[in-house]
Amino acid sequence: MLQNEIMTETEVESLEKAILDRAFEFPLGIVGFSSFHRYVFAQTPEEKPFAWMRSLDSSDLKFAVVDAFYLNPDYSVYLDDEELRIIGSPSPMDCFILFILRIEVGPPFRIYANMRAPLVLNRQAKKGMQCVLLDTPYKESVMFEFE
Amino acid sequence: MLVLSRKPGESIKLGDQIEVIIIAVEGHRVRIGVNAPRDVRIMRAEVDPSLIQSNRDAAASASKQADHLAKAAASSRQKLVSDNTPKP
Repeated sequence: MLQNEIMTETEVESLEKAILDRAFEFPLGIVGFSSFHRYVFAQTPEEKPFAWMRSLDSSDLKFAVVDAFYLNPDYSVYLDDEELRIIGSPSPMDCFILFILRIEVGPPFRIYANMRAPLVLNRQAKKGMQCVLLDTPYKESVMFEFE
Repeated sequence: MLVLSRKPGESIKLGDQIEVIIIAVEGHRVRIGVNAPRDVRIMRAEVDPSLIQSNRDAAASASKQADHLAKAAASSRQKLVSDNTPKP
């Protein structure tokens, strides 16, 4: 009979609640992964400023992400009313923008940032979406090469 | 694939909740309306395949490069050799 392995119902529920309280909900998912809606962010101190966006709905799915303004201080994005509504109508103070990254260790070491489809998060409502920009000079794969 | 013909004002339903309406034909363009639930993302198809691929490549590289994110962070604090950010 399992002894140590069995938790109480209350313990299970409280552990589940703990992770869900930290999760962001993406009502439309990520393009190409539209059935997965819940993600959490994780990083070690060594990984800063990069972080992992990990799916709670698909065990191996994660994306490397970074704050957009870290890579491109001049970046800007316009959200229309419908997009704002999807993420709970944030005030500008509650909005955070991330790029999904593809990393090539090489050498040379390169990061490719998707600036055409940024992630926009509402920190207050814990919602997010991937905004597909049309009519934009930014590309899906903007390369940064480091020494 | 289902191929059919509709006239302006007519529509097509996809399942119970999605309706595609042909509004008008103007020269070589067709104006289309889409009614869909809020959790269905509607996109122009030519945008879609390359973005799906880009996201999938990113996810695949993330799972292969799990150990390298810290190295990535360290490298990014070094000298930026080149970037092809477009300046709008």
